[in-house]
Formats: sequence, C-alpha cells, structure tokens
Amino acid sequence: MTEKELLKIIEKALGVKNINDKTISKDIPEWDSLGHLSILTALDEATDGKVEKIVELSESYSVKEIKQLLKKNNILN
Amino acid sequence: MIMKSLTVFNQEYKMILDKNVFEPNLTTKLMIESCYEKIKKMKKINLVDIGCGCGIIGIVLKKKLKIKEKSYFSDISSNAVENTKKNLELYNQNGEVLKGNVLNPWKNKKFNVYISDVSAIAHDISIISPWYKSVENNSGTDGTKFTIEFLKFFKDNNINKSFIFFPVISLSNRKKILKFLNDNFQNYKCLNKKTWFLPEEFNGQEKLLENLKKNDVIDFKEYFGKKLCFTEIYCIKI
Repeated sequence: MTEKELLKIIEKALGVKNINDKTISKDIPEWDSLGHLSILTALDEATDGKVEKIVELSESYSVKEIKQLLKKNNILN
Repeated sequence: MIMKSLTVFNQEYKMILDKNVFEPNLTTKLMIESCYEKIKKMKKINLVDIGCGCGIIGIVLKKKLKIKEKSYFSDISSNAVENTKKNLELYNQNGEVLKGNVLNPWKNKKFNVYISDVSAIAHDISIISPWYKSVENNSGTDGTKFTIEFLKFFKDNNINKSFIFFPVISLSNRKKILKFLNDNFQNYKCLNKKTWFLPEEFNGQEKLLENLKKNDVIDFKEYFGKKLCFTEIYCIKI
C-alpha cells in the first residue's frame, strides 16, 4: 500500500476529503468512534486482514500514528 | 433544559432532552434512516412510535416526510411522555402521546407504520453500560422481553397491511429474536447493520462478557483487540 492509497482509504471511510499527513481525529467531526471503526474495517479489507493483528491501530487517532504502525509492520511502502 | 442534537441525513436536529429520558444514540439514527428509506414513497402514513423517549424518531420522520396526519407516541416512562409533548411543540408537529407498556396504549387503534425502539439490552450489560445510568432497562435477563412482547402483539391481533420496524442489538439474545421472527413471520428483512466497539465502561468485564456470550445472551467478536458489537434494524411487512 502506498501513502497516497492510505489517505484515499481514510477519506473514503470517513466520507470526507483533504485528509493529509497532519490530520488528527479531533480536526474531523466524522472521525469519531464509528468513523475510526470505518477506517479500521477499510484497512482490514484493503490488506486482506493483515492489519487486524496490529491492535494498536484501535487507539491510533491520527494519520501520522496510523502511517507509523503500518510502516513498522511492512504494510505501507 | 438540556438540548441534544442528532445529525441525520446530514441535518442537525436539536431536541429537548429531559432528565431520566433515554438519550438518542446510534440505534436511533439507524432507525430513522432505515424507516425513511422504506416508507418515503407511502402516500398516507399513520405512524406509531413505541418507546418514543424524547420523540425523536417519529418527529424527525414527520418533518422529513412532511407527514400531515397525526402521529402517535408512547413510552412506559412519564418523563418521556412529557418530553415528547415538548418536542412535538418545538417542531410544531401534531401528535398524541400516551404512557404505557409496548403497544398496550394502542390496542384499539391500527397503524400502517409501527416503530419500536424499546429497551433491548441484557440486564447484566445495562447495569454496566453508559446508556442506562438515568433510565431503567427492565428488558429481562437476555434483553428480549419487550421486543418479543412487541412482535407477539402482531400475532395475537389481526393486523395487516403494515410495516413494523425494530432494532436488534447484539447485546441481547439475538438468536432468540431471530427464531421468533422465523417461526412467526414470513416477510421480514434486515434493512441496516452497523458495527461498533464496546465502550470503555466495559473494560475489565471480560469474564462476565465471555460468560454471557457463551450462554447466547449476547454476541460480539474480537477485532483489533477490542470487542465489536452490532446493531441491526429489521422490518416486517404484514
């Protein structure tokens, strides 16, 4: 998965545009607990279930944190 | 006076929420959206909102669908009855509101849209949950008491040409409700389903949760190290 694809996945899951590297959940009303679950589900689908084992993602409320975790687990290029 | 807002169809609806009245939540929103899609083309809507709380489901549908006919609301709680009257006035909508359990206040009346959002959470869950801190649940050990009672009404009374809407939450005995549906109704469908993480109030309750799950009282799955539950909205056409 590329960084560009990641941002698109998050945008689609939240139903918003203009998500970037600095976006944090507090900036986006749609990124509430349900929105966060939508992101996780979308990531899970996009990676054929590879991200489900990264439990820290359930507490990662910023693009930066999500990127770091995906990189650490060799899912993000 | 507390005002609470709920965004449905990208529009914010502000409602008066009195003390000891159930606060609208995800189920409320799902119910409104599901009902709207199903009944939006009906010409004449004669609606009853059971377990109305602050009246939000019926009132938003009345507003959105421009329902001119009087609508009907009831709740077992006197506070909810008074609260719904206030919100009907706030939104300038016509309605009759009665106090009573499930469909008891409307035994001699017929509707073509029945909406139930009565309590439907297993007792052991409700006492820990954030949703029933100021209101009573009373829907039984497995949370199905009021839902089954509501559905049974349609079998015991000769009601037809109607739509019946109700939620099934995985924090109740879903299998029991679905069995009742399957045994008694032919034309039913799940209209909508949303999953959500169990809130932090349940942290440290793993033993209880696993035990309830083992006994089919509740259902959830582990996802990203958290417990994932779901809410479904069902519709029966009779």
